[in-house]
This record gives sequence, structure tokens and C-alpha cells, in this order.
Amino acid sequence: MAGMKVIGEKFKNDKIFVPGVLVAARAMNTGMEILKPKLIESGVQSAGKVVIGAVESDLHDVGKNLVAMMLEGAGFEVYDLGTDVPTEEFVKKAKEIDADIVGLSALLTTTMNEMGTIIEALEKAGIRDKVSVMVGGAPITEDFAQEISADFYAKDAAEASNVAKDIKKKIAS
Amino acid sequence: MKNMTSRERLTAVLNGEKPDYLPWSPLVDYYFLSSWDSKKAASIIDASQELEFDLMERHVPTYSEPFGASLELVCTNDVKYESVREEDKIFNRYITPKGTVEEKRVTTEKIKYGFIKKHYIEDIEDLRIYKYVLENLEFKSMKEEFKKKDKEIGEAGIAVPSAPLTPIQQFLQFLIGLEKTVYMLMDHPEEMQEVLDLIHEKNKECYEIILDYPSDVVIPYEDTSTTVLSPNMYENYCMDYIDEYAELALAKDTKYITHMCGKLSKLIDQLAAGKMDGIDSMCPPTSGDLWPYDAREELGDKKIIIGGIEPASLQKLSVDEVKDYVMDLLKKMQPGYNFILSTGDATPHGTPIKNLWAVAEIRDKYGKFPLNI
Repeated sequence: MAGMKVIGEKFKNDKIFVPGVLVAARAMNTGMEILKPKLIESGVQSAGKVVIGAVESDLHDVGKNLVAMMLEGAGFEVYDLGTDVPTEEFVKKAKEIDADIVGLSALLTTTMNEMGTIIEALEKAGIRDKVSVMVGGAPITEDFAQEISADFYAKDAAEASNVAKDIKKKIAS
Repeated sequence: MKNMTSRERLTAVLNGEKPDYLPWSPLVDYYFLSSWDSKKAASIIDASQELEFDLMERHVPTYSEPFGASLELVCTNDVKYESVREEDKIFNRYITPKGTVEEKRVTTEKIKYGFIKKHYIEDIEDLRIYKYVLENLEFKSMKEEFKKKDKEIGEAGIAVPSAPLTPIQQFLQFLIGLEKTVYMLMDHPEEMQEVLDLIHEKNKECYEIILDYPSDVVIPYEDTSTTVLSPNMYENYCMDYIDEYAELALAKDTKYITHMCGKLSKLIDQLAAGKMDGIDSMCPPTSGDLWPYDAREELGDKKIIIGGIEPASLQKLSVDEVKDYVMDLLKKMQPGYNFILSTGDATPHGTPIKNLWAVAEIRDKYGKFPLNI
């Protein structure tokens, strides 16, 4: 995981690119398969629980997968719902695992408004104050994130490791 | 006062000559048209007239995946192809004596052709089957269909055939997907290279056919972006292929313009050194990361740049903001040689019509060539 921090930093500074991150993430996951039982045995806690997915009608997954990898690398427990995820699935999973973060991804201008709908649904389900909502994707801007009352915005996957640090701080406080 | 037709204007820029006005040629397809409530059945030609843009109709006469070229794919010998629709899902299959490879797509109301949910190639066995498919694949010209469409467009603009993608982009976009392409290149480098080489040979057959169409330009839809490729990957798997295809086009006196709608700033040195005649759908932030005027400084004056307007901005901004955006762009692109004002990829579903008119208005008011604002 310390290695993934280095990868995240290099990725942010354009020293390595997506293929390099994928290779590093695969190495990390292979190592984690071996280490996971031992970590559980020794009582190591995750940095937090994340539900992540691409919103309904959006089937793009590259950015979302990278963010998931970065969050795993930062020690989060990530529940990846995949692509084209209906609003109720985000709410259901967030409740079920008692999530700290809901990560929403959209690549299309036609699907980005789903993010606001999901935030409203989290509100209606009475769990909005328990989860931080992180949004990202090519058409998403800081202004849009504020407009829909998201808590965190990542310009691109390269920013995800920094966002993860902010979220860690928020969870700890 | 305009004294050129849209066809003449676009052709002038493509041939390095002076247009009367800067061409305004957004990438408009049925993704946008399907959201234009009163004109759902409109053709792209009708849209170009009503929205007052110079039409470059793309993918004429078709876009045959996974090559992405404007021709027909024909399976020969014992290879068969079938496409089956089940509700919102489409299953495309190549059936061979060595096994079947299958792609699964999911359609939505807005995206009729669907998104790839499962790629043809998931492991090394699938790669071997697909290699067999390639060995038994031929191509059929659609020149007559191209000529028919180009004639239909008339003076409203030009028809543009799609050229095949580089082999690595066929892997990334259609056959394998990003993650598995990266892993398979590491795990099975020799077999992957064999298939890349085979696709390259097939691509050359495609070029021979497409460069025979009566068009001034061909465009491969590379979708190049450092959100997918590293500069090293571009250098190792794209550059030489693109240069070779550009030379084939040059030999037939045809411009070779690569569609690169993603983040390009970290590839600028390679693009400047590349033999392509221009770059299509150059996209500024946030979807892309390169403004055409910054690219111009690095690419020099010779390369044609098509693009400059971020699609998401065109959809979200107010009319006045769109006008300011375009004015600023035109000022910075002065005098405007080798530049076609366009969107940095497809005009989004739901883009306000008044925003497209706003761009046309600014072009008409300030776009007299050479630009002097």
C-alpha cells in the first residue's frame, strides 16, 4: 500500500500513466490476496468503507476503476458496484455496509445529473450525514459538484489519492 | 459576404488554401440529433442547414467495428459472424472451428448501438480464436455508397470516410479493453505482437480500399488520450503505424487526419513529430487538456487542427458565455490558418440549439479569413 502511495504521487505528477497504475494495482492486489487473512487476523482496520460505481445509463469504467484502485491503495475497503448502477443500488449498498464514502462516476453529460438524484436519495434514506459523497468524470467540474452538494470532487483519477487523504481526515475528525 | 460554399470552404482548408471564412464544422451525429425534439427524424444534412454549419459528415458510408473503417467486413471459409439482439442487449459473435468469441453490448435509449459490456477477447484462448478470424477476414469496398452520400451532401459540406484504427486502438476500444490489453501485453507479449502485426497487415488492405474513395481526407477514430495510453505506449504502438498510414494517404494525395479527442498535452512532442496532416476533435479542458492555440505553438503552422470547443461546455454554458468562449478562441487562433472550428468530440445529447446558433453567429460576424479581430 505504501507503494501505491508512491504510484499515486507519480500518477498525479504525470510521471507514470494509466497503464503503469494498472500494473502496479495488479501487483498490489496479488500481494493483498496473500496478506489479507493475516491483516484480518492481526486486527488491522481499513481506512474506511467506500461504495463506488458509474451512475445509471453510464457504462464507462476506466476512471471509476482507477479511483477504486487508488482508494484501495490508500487502505480503503472498496465495494465496486460496476457501471450503469441504479440509484437504489448505491443507497442499498451504502446502508448494508455502513459506508463512509459513496463515489460516483459519470463520463456523459446526459448521465451526470444522476449524481444529484443519488445524493437526494441518500438524503431521503436518512444516511446523507453518515456518508461523504465523492464525484468525478470528464464533464464534472468543481462548480457542478457544489451545485449538487457533493462533498468531494476529483478532477481526474490522478487527484483521487489526494481526495482519499482528505476523506481520511474527515472520517478521523 | 460569404463567397464559398461549405464544400469549397472545407476543401480549401484541407488543401492548404485560403477559405473565405473560417469553417465551423461541429461533430454532429445522431447522439445529438436524437435530443432535438422537433427534429428527431432530421438528417445530419438538414441539421447543417438549419444550424448553419459546414458539414463534415463522418463515418461515410459506415463504421465497421472492430476496424472502425468505412467498408464492409466479410468472413470467409469456415468463419461465420452473427449479431443477435435480446431486449436491450446485443451479442456479436465470430464462430470458428477453433471456438467462438463474443462481444456483449448494452443499449440505452440514447445510445442505440450500445456500450461494450464484455469484449470479444478475455484471455489468451480468445486471442488465438480471434487470430483465426483475422486470417479469414476480407474487406469489400463501399465506394459507390460513399459517392452516393457525398453527392447527397452536395455543397452543404463533405463526406468523410473513416480509416481503420491502429492495431493497439482496436484492442483498447473494441477487442480487449484497457485493463486486459495492458495485462496481456505483459503476460503474452509475443502472441499479442503477432496479432498486432496481423491487424496491421489487414489495415493496409483497408487503406488500399478506402484511399480509392473520392475524398480529400480520411480520419481514423483513434480517440488518443493519456487517460488510456502512456506516452511510451503511444511511441511503441501508435507512432510508427500512424506514420506508415499517413504515407499511404500521401501517396494517394489524400489528407490523413487523426481523431484524437482526449488529453494530448503529454503527447505533444510525438504529435509534432508525427506524419499525420492534422488532428481532429482537439479538446480543451476539462474533457481534454489542450487548447488549439497552445497546440499550434508546438505543432507548427502546417498541421490542420479541427476542434477547440469542449462539448460539455457547449452544452452547459449560456448563449452569452458561448459567444465569449468562441470569441476568445478565435482571437487566440488568429489569423486562423489550417484551422477548422469544431467540437472536441461529438456534440452532446441535449446541447441547446441556441448555443449552436451562437457559435455560427460569432463565426459569421468575426470569422472572415484571415481572422483579424
